Amino acid sequence: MKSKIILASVMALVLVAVLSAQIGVVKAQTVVSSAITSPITYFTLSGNVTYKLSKFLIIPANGVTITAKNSQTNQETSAKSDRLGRYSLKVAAGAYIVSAKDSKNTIFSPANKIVQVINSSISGINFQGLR
Amino acid sequence: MSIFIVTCLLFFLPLLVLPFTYNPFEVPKIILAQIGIWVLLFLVVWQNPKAILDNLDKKRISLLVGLFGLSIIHLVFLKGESTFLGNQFRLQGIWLLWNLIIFALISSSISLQRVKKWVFSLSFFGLFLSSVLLFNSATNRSIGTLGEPNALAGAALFLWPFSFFTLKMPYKLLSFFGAFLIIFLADSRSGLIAFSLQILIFILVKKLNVSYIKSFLIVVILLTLSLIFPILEGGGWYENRGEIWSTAFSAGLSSPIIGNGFGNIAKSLENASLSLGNNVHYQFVDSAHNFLLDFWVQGGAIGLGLILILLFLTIQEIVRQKDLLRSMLLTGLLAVMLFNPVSVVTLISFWWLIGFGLVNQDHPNV
Repeated sequence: MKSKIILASVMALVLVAVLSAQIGVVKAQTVVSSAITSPITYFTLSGNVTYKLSKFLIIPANGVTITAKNSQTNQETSAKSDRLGRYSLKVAAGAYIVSAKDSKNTIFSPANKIVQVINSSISGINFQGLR
Repeated sequence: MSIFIVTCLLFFLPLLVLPFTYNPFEVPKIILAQIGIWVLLFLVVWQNPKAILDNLDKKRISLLVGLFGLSIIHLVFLKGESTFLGNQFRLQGIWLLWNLIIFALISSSISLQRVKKWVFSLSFFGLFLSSVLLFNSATNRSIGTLGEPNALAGAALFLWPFSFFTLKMPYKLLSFFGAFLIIFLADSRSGLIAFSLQILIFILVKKLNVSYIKSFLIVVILLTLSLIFPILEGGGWYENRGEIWSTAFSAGLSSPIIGNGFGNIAKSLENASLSLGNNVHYQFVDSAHNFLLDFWVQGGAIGLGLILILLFLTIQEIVRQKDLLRSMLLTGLLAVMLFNPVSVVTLISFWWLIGFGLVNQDHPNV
């Protein structure tokens, strides 16, 4: 009987020690997330950026920063257009406000675009700057 | 008391949600499951441990001893931050594995025959109610008291057959349609595959009088074929599973004999993703989304081999006992576990079934 009580006490101590450690591990979490993570795929947002110099002269816009801001989390992802005016961004599923900005504060049309990424990449998100 | 604890772990743990840090769905369940298992262990030690041991097949227990030994090797030689306790999200480290092994050993000798039938229906009804009320606002999929749609589907797939077999017509149909509705609300495709296979094995055995062996073979073949879907489908959720699976396979190859260590899967997947140059490392992924691949990554060929043998022995025992309920339970759980990360609820159910394959005498039927 005595040995069973001692064994039970040891078991209880071990359990309390490990559970306390586990609770410590969990409390270190600072990010809200699902415990059992569903697969999250990254999709591509892409398009072209151009400058309209005149009615008939439209050129690719190099080095324009395209930003996609998640409307729920406010997290931003950015990329710069290449010399052919092409850009692509990797984002998770969600609703985004996509906008363009360059170093000369050019006004782009549209000012921003709202896109809903569900389960596929989206192309053709184009911007044109007026110079 | 033991029956009460096992019943709570199998049928009421899925319904538990407690406000606790950022994780009210999973972590409280893990903590309480461990407490429940240790109370069970205490009762066994206090009363008559020999009775449990005599009921078990010594050769089959050696497989669990092998898993335990492998985990010790991991603790000594492959210890990382999350090896013993697991990570902050799912606490699925070596400690939880030991608890599940203990649960399988003890619960194998505890019959649920004396559990009142209304318990099964109450549990299932509770899950159904939670699935109708609790949704993930971002994806609009039901999460119930499990916190994740596929985990909810897994719980439903385990609970509904109990309700189905203990109720009379027309209430049987309520559990059938209830399960379907839960899976529909959760929008779980793996749940739908699992549910279909459960119905199939029921029809094969009960209505078409096909033997259990043949029925299981058909189900296993169909299940294996369904694993191709994520690889074939381009874009969407399934594409990511194929990517994670290939990453997990590669991660396992880095240590193919003893694996990368139980509890170390997130780091292993990240390293494999970096060497493959794919997108998996852009997100925290702590599961291969396939429990066999989880064992491959963490336990290598030895770990994977041990769990496959245990599974085989469980199926063998189910076939020998001609246990239709457990056939459906195992089919449903396996299908869900082969496509998703597993919650502690699914693990408890799975290891309870594994315990069934460890005994050396007939079980009383539920």
